[in-house]
Amino acid sequence: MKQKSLWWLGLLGILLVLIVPAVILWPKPQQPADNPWANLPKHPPHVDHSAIIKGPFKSGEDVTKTCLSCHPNAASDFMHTTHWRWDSVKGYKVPGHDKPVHFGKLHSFNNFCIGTRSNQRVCMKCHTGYFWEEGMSNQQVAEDLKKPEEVDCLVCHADPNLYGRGPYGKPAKGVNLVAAAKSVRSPTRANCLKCHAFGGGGDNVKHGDISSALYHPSPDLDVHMGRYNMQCTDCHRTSHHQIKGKLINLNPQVDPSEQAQCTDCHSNAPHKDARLNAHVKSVACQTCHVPETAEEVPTKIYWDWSTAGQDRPQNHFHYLKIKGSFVYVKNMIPTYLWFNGNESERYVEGDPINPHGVTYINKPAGSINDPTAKIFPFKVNHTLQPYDTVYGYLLAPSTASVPNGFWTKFDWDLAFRIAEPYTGLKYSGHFAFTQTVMYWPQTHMVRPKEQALQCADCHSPNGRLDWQALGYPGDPMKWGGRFDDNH
Amino acid sequence: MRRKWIPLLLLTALVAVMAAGLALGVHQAVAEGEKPGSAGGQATPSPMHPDYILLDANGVPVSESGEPLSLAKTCGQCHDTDFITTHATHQKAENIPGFAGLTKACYVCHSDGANWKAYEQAYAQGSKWADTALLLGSGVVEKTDKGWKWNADAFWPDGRLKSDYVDIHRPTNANCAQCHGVVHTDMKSPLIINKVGESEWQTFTTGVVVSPQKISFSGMDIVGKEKLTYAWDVHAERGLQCVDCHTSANSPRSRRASELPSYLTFEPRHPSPGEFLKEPSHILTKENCESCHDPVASHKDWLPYLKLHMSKVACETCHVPHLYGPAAETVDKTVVLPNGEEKVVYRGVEATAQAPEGAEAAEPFTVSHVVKGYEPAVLKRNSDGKLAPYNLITTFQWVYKKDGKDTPVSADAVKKAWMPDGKTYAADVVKAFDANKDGKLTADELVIDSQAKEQVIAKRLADLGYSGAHIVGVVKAYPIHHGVVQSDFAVNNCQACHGEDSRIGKSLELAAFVPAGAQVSFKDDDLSGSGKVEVKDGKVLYQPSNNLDKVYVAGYHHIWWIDLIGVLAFIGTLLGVSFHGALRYVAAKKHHPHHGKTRREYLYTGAERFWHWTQMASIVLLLLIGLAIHEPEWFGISGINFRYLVFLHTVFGWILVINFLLAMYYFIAIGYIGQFIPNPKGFVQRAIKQAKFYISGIFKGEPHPFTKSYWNKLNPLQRMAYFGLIFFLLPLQMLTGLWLWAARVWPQTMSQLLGSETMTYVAATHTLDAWLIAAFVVGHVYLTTTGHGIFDYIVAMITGWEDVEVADETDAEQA
Repeated sequence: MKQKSLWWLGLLGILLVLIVPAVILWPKPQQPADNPWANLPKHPPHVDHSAIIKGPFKSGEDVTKTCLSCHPNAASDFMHTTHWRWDSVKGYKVPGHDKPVHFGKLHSFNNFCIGTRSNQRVCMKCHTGYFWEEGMSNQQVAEDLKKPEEVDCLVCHADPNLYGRGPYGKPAKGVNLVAAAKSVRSPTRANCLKCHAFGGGGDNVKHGDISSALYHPSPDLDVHMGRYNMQCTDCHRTSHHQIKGKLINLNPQVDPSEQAQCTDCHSNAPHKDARLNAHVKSVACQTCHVPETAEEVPTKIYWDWSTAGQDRPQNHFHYLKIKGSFVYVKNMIPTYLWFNGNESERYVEGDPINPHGVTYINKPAGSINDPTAKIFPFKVNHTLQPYDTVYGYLLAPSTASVPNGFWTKFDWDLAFRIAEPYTGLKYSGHFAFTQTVMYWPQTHMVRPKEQALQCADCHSPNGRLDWQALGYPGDPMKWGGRFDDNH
Repeated sequence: MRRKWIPLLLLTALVAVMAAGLALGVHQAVAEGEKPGSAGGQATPSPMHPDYILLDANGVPVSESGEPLSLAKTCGQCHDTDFITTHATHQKAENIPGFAGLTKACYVCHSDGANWKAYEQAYAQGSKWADTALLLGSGVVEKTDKGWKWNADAFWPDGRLKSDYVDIHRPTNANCAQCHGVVHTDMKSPLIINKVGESEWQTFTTGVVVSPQKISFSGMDIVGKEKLTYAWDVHAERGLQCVDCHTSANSPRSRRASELPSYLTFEPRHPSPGEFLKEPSHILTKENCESCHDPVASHKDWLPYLKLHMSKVACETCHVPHLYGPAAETVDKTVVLPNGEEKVVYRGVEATAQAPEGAEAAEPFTVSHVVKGYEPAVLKRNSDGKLAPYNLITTFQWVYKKDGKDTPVSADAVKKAWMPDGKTYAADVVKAFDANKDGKLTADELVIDSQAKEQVIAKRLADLGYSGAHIVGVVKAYPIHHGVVQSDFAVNNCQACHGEDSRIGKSLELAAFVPAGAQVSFKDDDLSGSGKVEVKDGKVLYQPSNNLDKVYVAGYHHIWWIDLIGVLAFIGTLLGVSFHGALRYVAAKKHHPHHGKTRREYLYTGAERFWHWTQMASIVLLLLIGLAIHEPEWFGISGINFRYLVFLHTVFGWILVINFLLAMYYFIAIGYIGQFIPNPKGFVQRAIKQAKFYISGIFKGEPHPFTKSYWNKLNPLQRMAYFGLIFFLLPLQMLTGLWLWAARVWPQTMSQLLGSETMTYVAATHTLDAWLIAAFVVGHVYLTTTGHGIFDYIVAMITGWEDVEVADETDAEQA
């Protein structure tokens, strides 16, 4: 008995001697530092609706009613989104205003087509509803905004080759609504780009980093969409029709959790090289990985409304009678600023313009002393746009309305007069043009590492960053970064 | 009264207009003059250097005296110019034709656009305007037919140069590039190299290009460049300047590492900036990789046998795997090209069929050239015994006997022999070399590939006084230190060196042809030159001799006698047992097999049988996988498969080790181990008895001399064999195997503990032992057939029961 227990003890001992070190010291496969695939959303397969949808449909509203018969909450969910409201749910604090201010396409200014009010005929092509026309009372708009059947499901869910929208967002002439409804599926790049690439009146006019080039981008233009054929909704994740990701232009303060971030999938130290990872504290991913925008399709960086209405040779890129003169650039090297995700300035309707210089429609917030700010690429758009010389604020003309809008009559005075009841901004009868600036973050068209910026693109005598302007004493490669002791 | 004023007014107006015109003209002139350095580089205004007075040799401002500039006096106002010229690395260069006066030409390295050509000419003529010539094109001075004229607008009234003309700075890569090779700093314009000659020395000799641009962005047709997504030079990419590593010896930031006692890592005492600026040493240090990098920190996670690698392999060997710049391969000075120059053949640059005709002469490389680059030769350095990358350039030239010594014929003389008037080829030369009979000589015809052609030129040289001229080829090795690539693109595939097609020992082409009668010799002080210059298919190759250099690379080299002994042991055993078996077969026909008394015995417990078959399986698998690891090429194995095989080998190795140790513990615990130890008492007699049985008895059908029992299974010879296996062969194999495994898993600990030099011996022992174990297995398997019935022993090891022959002797006699 004693001998037998000794035997077991010895056996156990040998096993321990062999197994314990083997387990501890067994070479472990190195975990990849960055495993973005694990963080991608899984899209459930979409049910083919071609057999489910019957029709016939007389109108867009009919289609929506059919959708709602199976998806009863879709419209009520959707009605909470900015895609529907064209106005922010919450108010934002803006310098110079005591009360929180709401922003949205409904009433906010930009320095492209300026404002939507009284221009519904054209602008509503991109509103996801069927009803909105100028001349409707505010009350009627508010009521219609509550009607579920006014939501246009097809614009995001139908195959864009089978569906299109005309004036006021009504289904375009010739659209076969049954065929369009049968084609519904999860939104693809083509659905999103149909509006988002053509803001401001043309391909890539507004954003700079979102253009028709993203329908089928090359792997070198956009690594996500080109090399891996990812869809917008892979990053702009959607739950109950709420889509993640906010543009500062209409959201002066963005909570990081509301923003689509690179770090939703990628780690905070995604590079093999520690030196590159050290950049992450002060340099946004986009700065190196979006080295140029407006590739393939040029973007507008200057718009002079004051020359509109003249009879001179027209050309999409230089002069249009209805819009004035422009400057477009292709392969744009962005402007780099400190950016903490919010805005430090945002023009609100009725705000006085800066009588001595440019008026900032928006301005990114952040500085070298703000540890949450990073150097970020922007497109800057300069515009000469109208303002009321007596009241001293920007004016939003009625351009697209018929028959008296500026695009028909080319009469500024008339355009301001007919806009007055819609905008609620009094027009004195005297106007002039003033220079405004708007900043657009450049975050799409993410290049693979092979095409990203290299050291010398910034850290060289002719580099693209102006270190002094950013607040550094000199190139941080030599002078040290902002978190170094000597700074 | 009024009338009197009119001429005066007119005169005043005229003067005013003239003055305005003059002012405008001056303004224009100033505006034009504000672009200094128009002769090449873009001028970068100096961030620091003060406006200084240009002095002549008498110490008088040149703007006053109009005399030639003296840099010694001018720079000497603040810097000790005597000290600088006597403490300068570039002093050596002054002996090279065309570089005289280099260390006195401050502007060449410290400003942009210095006119070196004008300086060189003036210096050679001994002109006092040599220093001034450097400023030609900068707008500070002009040279007209009337002589030199200083531009008064470039100076302040006190003789100081205006700030716009002061661009004195620390040497930039562009400064160094003037003589040292191709440097391309512009990120936007794709790099295109049209011409590389001796004035691009580094690129010419090695193919190194210093540029932060990615090779994939280059404008040249580089084969597979879409995958070459790394910079030409990672240090240039990371913003380093040449002078960051080749820094002044007494600069405040110089490390002076060699002077440090062992207990210091940094010398904090240094000259003040002021002292340094007064006497800045122009001796440039040569930092090595380790001055900045810690190779252990960067490799410890993946590179096995770390210290061994670091002590035997130069960093550049893996980190400069392939060069894409046009490096010279052959310089043929025996012929003269139509443009009067020598013929140079570049590595990895091929003209395509579409190349425009005549483009060759104007620019050696055009965009239509296909660039493949080359892999440098990996040769062993004498100075530190490391394997390092080299380019080998073979120069063919005419030599003649002078004072009994082979002396090169001067380039001028060779040219004269080919082109008596310096422009056109001599008639008999054209006749001899014009292969296509078109009356013109082109580069591809200009090859001395026959005795007859050699004679034509040799005779013409003899006429010029160079009698007995013949051609020799000299190979010179150029070490490669620059053009380091980003670590991801360095060689990190073990098989690149440890495989059949190893970079170590790969031959490098020296020349695509050998001129008639030329002997090719290899000369280098730091290389053994032990390799062979071979001629294969008309091409000359340099084949390094790893053998003579004592280079041993596991996986590529084999110790031939280890395998020889192993194979002999294995085949010997195989032949032995085959012979024995054949004899038994023959004998079994003659003699009726003996049917002695048998008894059924329980010989093997379940544990023993389990142990035996586990051991059998793991040993057979280990031998087979081991053979595949030893000779991967025999099985067509590479890369991933190889690693997987090593992994499998490790797994079965561990199974064998654990199984063996458990069995040993079991055998010792139950006292069974004694079976495997020969009993010394009477061992010899018993062994002879058993041997006699195997030699003769077995053939005659005699019974086995000893009776088996549970406690006495093995005969004396078996005891001897198993003793060797269990106490020697297997433990040795397991220990060496564990050693090799541990050195891979914990490279640092193992090399600290046991030294990495021992790996060769350990690996060789493991191989030899494997052969011996394989031989044992053969013998062992054969002997299982020698039981009472042929398969009795094997069946017994399966069931545990055996029909044991009862020997004539008493059972008590222990084997």
